[in-house]
Amino acid sequence: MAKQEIYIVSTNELAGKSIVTIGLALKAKDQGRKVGYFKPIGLGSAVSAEGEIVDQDVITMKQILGLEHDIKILCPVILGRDEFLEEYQRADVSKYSAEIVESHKKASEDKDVVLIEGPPNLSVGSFLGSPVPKLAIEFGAKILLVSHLENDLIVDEVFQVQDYCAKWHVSLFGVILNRIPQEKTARVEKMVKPLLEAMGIRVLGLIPENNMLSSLTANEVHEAIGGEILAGKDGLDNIIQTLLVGAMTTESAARYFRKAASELVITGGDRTDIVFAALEAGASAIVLTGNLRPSVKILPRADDLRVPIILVPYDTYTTLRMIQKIVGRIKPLDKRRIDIAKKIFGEHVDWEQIL
Amino acid sequence: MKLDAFFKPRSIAVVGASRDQEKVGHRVFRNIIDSGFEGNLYPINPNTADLLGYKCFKSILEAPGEVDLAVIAVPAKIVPGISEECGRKGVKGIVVISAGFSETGRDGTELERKLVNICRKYNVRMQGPNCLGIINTRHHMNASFAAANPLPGNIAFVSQSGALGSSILNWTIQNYLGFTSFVSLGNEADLDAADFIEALADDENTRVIGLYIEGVKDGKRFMNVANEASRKKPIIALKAGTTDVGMRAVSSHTGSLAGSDTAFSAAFKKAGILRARTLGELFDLVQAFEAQPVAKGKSVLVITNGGGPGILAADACENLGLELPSLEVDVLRKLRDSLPPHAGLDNPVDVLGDADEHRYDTVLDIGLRSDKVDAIMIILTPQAMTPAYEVAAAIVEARERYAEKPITAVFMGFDEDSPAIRRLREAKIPNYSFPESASYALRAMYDYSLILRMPSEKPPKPLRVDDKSVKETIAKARQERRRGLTIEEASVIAETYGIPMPKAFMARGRKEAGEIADAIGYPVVMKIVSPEIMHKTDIGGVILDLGTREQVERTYGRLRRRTRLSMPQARILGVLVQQMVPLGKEVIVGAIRDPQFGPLMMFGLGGIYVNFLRDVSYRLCPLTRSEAREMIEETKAYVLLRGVRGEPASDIASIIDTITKISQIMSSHEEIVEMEINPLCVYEERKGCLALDIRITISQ
Repeated sequence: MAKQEIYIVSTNELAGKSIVTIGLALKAKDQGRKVGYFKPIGLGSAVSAEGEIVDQDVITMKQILGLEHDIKILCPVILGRDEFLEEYQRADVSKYSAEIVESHKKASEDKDVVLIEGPPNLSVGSFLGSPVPKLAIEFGAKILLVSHLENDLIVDEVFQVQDYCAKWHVSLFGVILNRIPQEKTARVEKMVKPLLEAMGIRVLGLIPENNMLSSLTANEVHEAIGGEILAGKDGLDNIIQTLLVGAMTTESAARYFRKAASELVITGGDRTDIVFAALEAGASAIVLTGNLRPSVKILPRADDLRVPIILVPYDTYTTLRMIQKIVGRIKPLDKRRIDIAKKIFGEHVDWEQIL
Repeated sequence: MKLDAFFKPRSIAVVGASRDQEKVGHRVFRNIIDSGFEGNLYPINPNTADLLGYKCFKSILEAPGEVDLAVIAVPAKIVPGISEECGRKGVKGIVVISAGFSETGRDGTELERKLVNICRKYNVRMQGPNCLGIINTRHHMNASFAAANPLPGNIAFVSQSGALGSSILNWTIQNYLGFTSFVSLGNEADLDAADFIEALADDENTRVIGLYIEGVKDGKRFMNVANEASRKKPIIALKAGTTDVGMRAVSSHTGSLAGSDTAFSAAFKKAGILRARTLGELFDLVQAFEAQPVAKGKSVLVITNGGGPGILAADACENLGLELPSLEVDVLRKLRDSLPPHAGLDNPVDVLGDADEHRYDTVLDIGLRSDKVDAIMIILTPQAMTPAYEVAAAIVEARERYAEKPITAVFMGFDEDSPAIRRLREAKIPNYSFPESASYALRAMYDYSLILRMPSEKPPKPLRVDDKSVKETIAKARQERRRGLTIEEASVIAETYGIPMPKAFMARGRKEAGEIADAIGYPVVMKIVSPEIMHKTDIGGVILDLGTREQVERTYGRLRRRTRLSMPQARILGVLVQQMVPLGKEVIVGAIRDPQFGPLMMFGLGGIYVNFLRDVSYRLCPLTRSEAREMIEETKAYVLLRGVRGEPASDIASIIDTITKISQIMSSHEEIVEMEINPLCVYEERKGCLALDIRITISQ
């Protein structure tokens, strides 16, 4: 089989490129093919052990695929989050496109399949003379669009990408619609998909919203916000799907908790009643704010029910924001999410058409 | 009697009995001696040779004879070891007074578990730990560290608070109230309130059981025990933590979730427990029940020597639902002859300020004989020539002549130590300072007569249904980690159990909405369906009376747009197109699963105002048809359902059906934690009802 280059692109962040990249990578591996990974232009989102700014996705994929290349090869250009133009102002931009091509060559050497991950949208890199379609031509890659389906405007979004590619005389290989809300699946099948196909666009997958993928574990929350685990250490793998703030009366707390699924309850250490209501309602974890130690009487019960109780110094709002920041990110060696990603990818994407 | 080892031990060992008067062990040991305990008594203390004239033993294993009860007052960490010895000795019961167990957190909880395991291993029952002890005056045993020794009497008192218990003991002594037993429950690691109530129900000396509780360990067992016990003797409970702040305090005191007050009220009602709202009420009631017969009805004769107090008594009785009937005409004629001409003969009977014991006795005698009178309240105000003692004596004599009707006295403004009050107290005639308290006691006595007469009706036989589809529906939602069922899923459950609903289907597109409406027939109602929207009408999410397909299709888009604008975050699952049904009376029928007592049914006035009017009643499942009927009758909605202003009466029988069906659903499907039909539209008699909306929440 000839070498395959697949460029996975999106039009905004959190469209779900990772799930598609991981899914394709694992499927190709299962077929016994040598899989490479390359990200021409990354966004600085993490700091490496050596203190360098790196792209988190690259680290994740390097580990999943067990790649030997240096991160600088896998991702030659890193843009800062907001402001980066200074660095490139006086430089010869052609230097960068040369570097990208050179690194790609190394990264794809001896590989059967190379998965190239795009930036948040197709135009990123234009100022370096390296927008996605141009690089796709250089790499000989087919462009696979991953779009987050929120509403009917998805159709225009896909057409715009098609248009943009046409300008560079490349064609869009196909689109995967991702994170489709459960209530919209029927509509997408009946209206959106036929419309796109009528415009000559291959719809290669319809992936439903999966709340297990976006859910957190108690342990991840603890890693993100720190603090002291006072009880319930056995429940650190508990899944969290809902965040609730417990500031109401005992009776209404019981009412809210009854309706919530896999909830993390954030409340003050003085609200013994809320903690008990949460424990009895089957909460996944409890965060106590303001460094206020709770009554010792709750701890044995939390141990018994395996509900972690985490004490943090922050106020409720800060705690909530810190937790919200980590929702929806796949981290390296996150076996649980990688397994889920592989499973739903396999079930909902016509990957054999892509690979 | 059950728990004989605790209430009637033949021998007691006090482990930790000490010479040090400051020590709890000393106090307990001395209380047992001072109360005149007649069995064998063994102080256990390795560092003392003898104590208060008794030989000390180094260990309970060295005590020469059998030991029925061991009272343990040593540091918590050595209690398990001591209990092990008690087990080996063959002790039947232990009372662990020591604190330092689950009330102190993790290590204490571990220690308490160890202790319970030892008790199970040797088949020893345990009271406590962390309790005040146990007293049985009829057995001359005060095995507690209470500061005072209670007077003998017929009241048993069981308390979850030790501190409250000891204050109450002091207070009852000052007020000459007597006990059979007093039990402080402590942490209830083994024996709990239900166990002691069960035992006391069979104690021939106990006439009434008073109970102070903050929560129960096992709601179902508590209900079963109380249900039986309350038919043997009245149980009066004071439940603390009824307000939000109170509930928080309970949580931090007991280290558990305070039960919802609604559930407790329903539990008390179902189990036949009388509820006191304050400590004062609790004692007003136990006093009334200690020696009085049960009232057969709610007619009260009030006899007074002062007009004002008589009127207050009349108001209080009326407010509590008691009646003050007029006496028979021939009786009145007789009274007219024997009382001064300006005496008031209508109930309350005013025997006037100068009344002596004869005048009181005349009326009292008539009241006791009259078929129209079920209970008597005698008010005495101190006036210049009032012979209080003689009146008291006359009441006591009348009591001895006629034992069937309850009598309460209201001797207003008398000293507790006055000869009149003492005379009443000796004869166990309850005396109150104010007519309101006496009325309250009489009402409770009437309530208890209703409890005794409560027919032992069984819940209706469950409908035979094939609930496979219900189980599958619930399993699917659980698998998808959802807690709310969609309206379509809820309809499956309603249909299985024969709860009638109007025809309805969910539309996910404009055209589909039109097709559904065509199939159902016009007019239709359209409702937005979103898990985030609890109150659809608030955002204009319900549109009624759509007569044509064109209107339906237009409305589909309009509802979605409206929702998008007012609640952008809400997930819209679709639009429900429902057959438009005629107007009826809107009621709500629902249930929640209480963590302590199980399914709790709710009925009330329905529609959009239910949250504001709170015209609702509650009962615990499983429900009998009479209970379902009572639920309806308790609400104001009942007045409307019977028909007002010439309206025809509604089909109440169909509401009862719906209530019992929901009761069955809740009993059969443990996963359902909450369900609600609102509104249930009720039509004229024999025309049934329709559930217009059903909401079901399941556990995870």
